[in-house]
Amino acid sequence: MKSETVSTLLVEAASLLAIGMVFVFLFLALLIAAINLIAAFCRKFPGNFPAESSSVPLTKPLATPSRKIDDTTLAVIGAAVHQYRKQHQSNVKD
Amino acid sequence: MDKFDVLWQSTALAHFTLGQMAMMLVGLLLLYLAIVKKFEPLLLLPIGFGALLTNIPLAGFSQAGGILFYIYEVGIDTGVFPLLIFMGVGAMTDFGALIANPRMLLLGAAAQFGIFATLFGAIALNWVPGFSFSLQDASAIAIIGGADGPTAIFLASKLAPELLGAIAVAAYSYMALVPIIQPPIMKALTTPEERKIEMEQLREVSQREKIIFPIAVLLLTILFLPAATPLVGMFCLGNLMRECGVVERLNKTAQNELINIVTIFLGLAVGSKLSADKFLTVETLGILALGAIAFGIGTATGVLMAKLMSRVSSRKINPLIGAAGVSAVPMAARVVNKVGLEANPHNFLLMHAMGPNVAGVLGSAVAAGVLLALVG
Repeated sequence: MKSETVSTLLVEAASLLAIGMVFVFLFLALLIAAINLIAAFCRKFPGNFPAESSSVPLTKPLATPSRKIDDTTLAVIGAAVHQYRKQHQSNVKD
Repeated sequence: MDKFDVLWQSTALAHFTLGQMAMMLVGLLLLYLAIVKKFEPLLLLPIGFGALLTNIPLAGFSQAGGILFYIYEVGIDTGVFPLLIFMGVGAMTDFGALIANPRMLLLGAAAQFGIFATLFGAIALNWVPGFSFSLQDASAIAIIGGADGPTAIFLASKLAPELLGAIAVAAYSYMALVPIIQPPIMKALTTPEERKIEMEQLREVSQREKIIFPIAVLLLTILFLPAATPLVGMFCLGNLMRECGVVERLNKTAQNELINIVTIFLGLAVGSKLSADKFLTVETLGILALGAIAFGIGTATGVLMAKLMSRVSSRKINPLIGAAGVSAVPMAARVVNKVGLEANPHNFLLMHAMGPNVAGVLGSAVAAGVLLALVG
């Protein structure tokens, strides 16, 4: 390439460097301001809108066992286990 | 005897050119790097295989009628594939660390100096006989410094399609080499005391902030840099799908199935550009050298900016995190964490480095938009 064209290209590249970096900095600085604004807005109006919905499974499992086991069921299970252990122990002894 | 000649003429052996064989070796080298060295295997494997296919004599994979030709035309010439990948990347990116400490955006901006300095360097290479890079070529090469594959491919397909193969290979190879390129630069520019600095815990970020963030980014891009809206818009769409919590199925598809499918085709299409006449040139060597310089300069300016910020700011900033500003998510952040742990075994910088890391993605998309607007 001719040296003249290279030097004109170099001047253009230098101006691109300056303009590009200034623009990137300005744009991202503006974004900093925007993020701070969003944060301030969210602090001011802290509604509890969609809470943790991202962790909700897509489809509900077909048979969801209810987490809370009521006292009667607990008592029944406890008695059954007790009975089983008793039987099992007596079996071992025999 | 005639029949023998016809038979001989129908084998590849009779038609192999030296260039094709050399390019097949390049393809095999890429496969080796992907499979044995595990360098960005998701991309280098299809790229390497694409290079094998496109250099088969008589098969015409990359001529009109061949599958690679159409994949390239449909996906890369139109810019669709890199943009779909960018949507998936958006769906995989958590901006929490950046929203908690927005000043990290300045580090992402500083690291883009690597791009613009390389643009200058690529033009300066024209002094060397054998190189003739136009401003478009130089811009497409420089974006390698953005350390972001889809952005590099998108810009190269718009500005310098004939250099796309070399640019994509350089971009992905150097992204894999981040753990080797960055640490020496990071250590040279910081003192052991600086590397030991512990940073304060990041605050909790609400879901509402995360939802508003991508919309705000898009709004700013629309207002100030419409040329970057294809990249930033797809990225923000992916991120909004991730954070809003109501389209979990789309989110999962964007960051798994869709990005995987597109990656296969993107790799093959890039590989189809690895033909001897376009790749075995002195310009490819120049592109590989410039890419490494771009990474180095970006890392250095990121670290220097972090040093400056830690001097000025009241809050402590470990200058190492500036190196993550070159994007290359999440590799660069992991490198920062590793170098930080070497200096201070109790100092986990990973979360702090994720801020500048994702800021770098935005920074390189903005830089690409600037180049498209001014040079394209």
